[in-house]
Amino acid sequence: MLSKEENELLTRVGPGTPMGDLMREYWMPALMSEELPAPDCEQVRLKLLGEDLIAFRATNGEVGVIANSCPHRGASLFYGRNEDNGLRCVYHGWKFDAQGNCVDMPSEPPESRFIDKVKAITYRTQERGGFVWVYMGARETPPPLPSLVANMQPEGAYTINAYYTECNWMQSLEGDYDTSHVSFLHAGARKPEEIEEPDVTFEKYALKTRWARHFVRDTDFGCTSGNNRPAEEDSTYWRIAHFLFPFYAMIPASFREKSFIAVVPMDDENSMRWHVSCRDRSEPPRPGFGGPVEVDGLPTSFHRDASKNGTGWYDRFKIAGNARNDYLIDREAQRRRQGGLGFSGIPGRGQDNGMTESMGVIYKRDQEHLGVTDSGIIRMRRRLARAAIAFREDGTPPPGVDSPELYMVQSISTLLPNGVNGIEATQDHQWANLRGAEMAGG
Amino acid sequence: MAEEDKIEIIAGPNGEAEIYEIYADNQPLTYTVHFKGSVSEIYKTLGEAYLEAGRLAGVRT
Repeated sequence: MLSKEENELLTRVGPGTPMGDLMREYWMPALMSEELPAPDCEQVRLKLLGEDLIAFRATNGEVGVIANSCPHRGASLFYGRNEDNGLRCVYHGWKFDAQGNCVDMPSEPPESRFIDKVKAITYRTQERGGFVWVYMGARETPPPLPSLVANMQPEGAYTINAYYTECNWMQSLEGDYDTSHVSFLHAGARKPEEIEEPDVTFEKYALKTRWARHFVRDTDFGCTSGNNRPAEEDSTYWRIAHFLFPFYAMIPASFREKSFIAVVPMDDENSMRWHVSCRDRSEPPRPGFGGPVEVDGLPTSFHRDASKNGTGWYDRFKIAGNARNDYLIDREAQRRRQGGLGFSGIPGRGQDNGMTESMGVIYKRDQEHLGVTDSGIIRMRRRLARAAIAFREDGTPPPGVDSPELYMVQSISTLLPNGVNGIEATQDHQWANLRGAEMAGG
Repeated sequence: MAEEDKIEIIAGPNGEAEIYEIYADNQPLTYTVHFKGSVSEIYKTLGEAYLEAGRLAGVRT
């Protein structure tokens, strides 16, 4: 439960807001490199932290991210010509390079030096692991990129899945850090005996016992949530999840150990969700929750490529289910109560979007009743709010921003002897990537 | 080392009830409600603490 003021602090990310300023201190995964597949290709409309931007790949391959409105009289550079290392507005021909310099102003008289005085707003970019990262902060020298292991793999050794959600980033991220919903929303109709062996994720225990006890720990990167439930007579099933500043979640399941989720705010009411894992992209997708894989040419679950994207501000990585079609809910499937579709009746990632979007575009947290399973969310909110205030009041650098190695942590699901604290007992495992990098001299 | 933070004040016709969160590394979060000099039992959920604070203060939470 949060007051209106606390909720505003957490959810608003536009320029000048405390949370928006905090987020601008970090590099953000803004779009997939393949959305700009070749030099001088078509530019892309990009919403980021409430700002309307245009992303383009220049002739030399460099990615530019420039304010949508031409500095001359505000026409959209989306309609511009991407040519010869710059974006030219088609209204009066003014042209800007990736750094925002005006490099041609053919509408002004030849003696004019106006060209030297006009500059477009641009943001710094770099590419790694299939993403174009954008830095929108004020630092002269930006911080390093976070060392997220799944984003540091060679081509072919990682997969990026994406989908867009029509709600505020915070409630979407809360859904990731709340791993207890998996036993209901995604698997409420599944039975432990349906789990195929070997059950490397110990999923059957999450189906056998659907409640869990929760433990939390504040960390230098954000916070850790450990939840446990009975496994065998002498063992306990632990799931260790992480929240990492400012919008990352690492959720437990063995194949996801080196994965992360980023919920990047497009604006206060729309978010882009990136799910990144160390899996070869050529591998077939894992089985979904059942139901149709595609409806009206759009996937019901993740996008793996940008080929189905439209060109509008909110047309990137849309999925088929949305509020206008009740997320394609199949009441008959819901009644049958079988498989991954059988609890909600909703196919694909519409399951998550259906819950987080139906809370309201910006969820008002003044009437909620938080239980034990919400401990991680409570702590995540607290840490974000405190960091935003500290940065606003005295410039305290936000957690993790200058410590890229902290992002090498990984999530875990494991069995431990009864009575052992799983957060403490798995520290070595959580930091195995960092130790490996240090031993390799990284 | 446990930390106790006052995280909310619920004000109502009966007075102000204060909710405290008790945090310790690697442990569950717990809560107490302080009202007119007395301290409640320890609650395991924030939701219960809010309900009790509302009851004491005289407002619906």
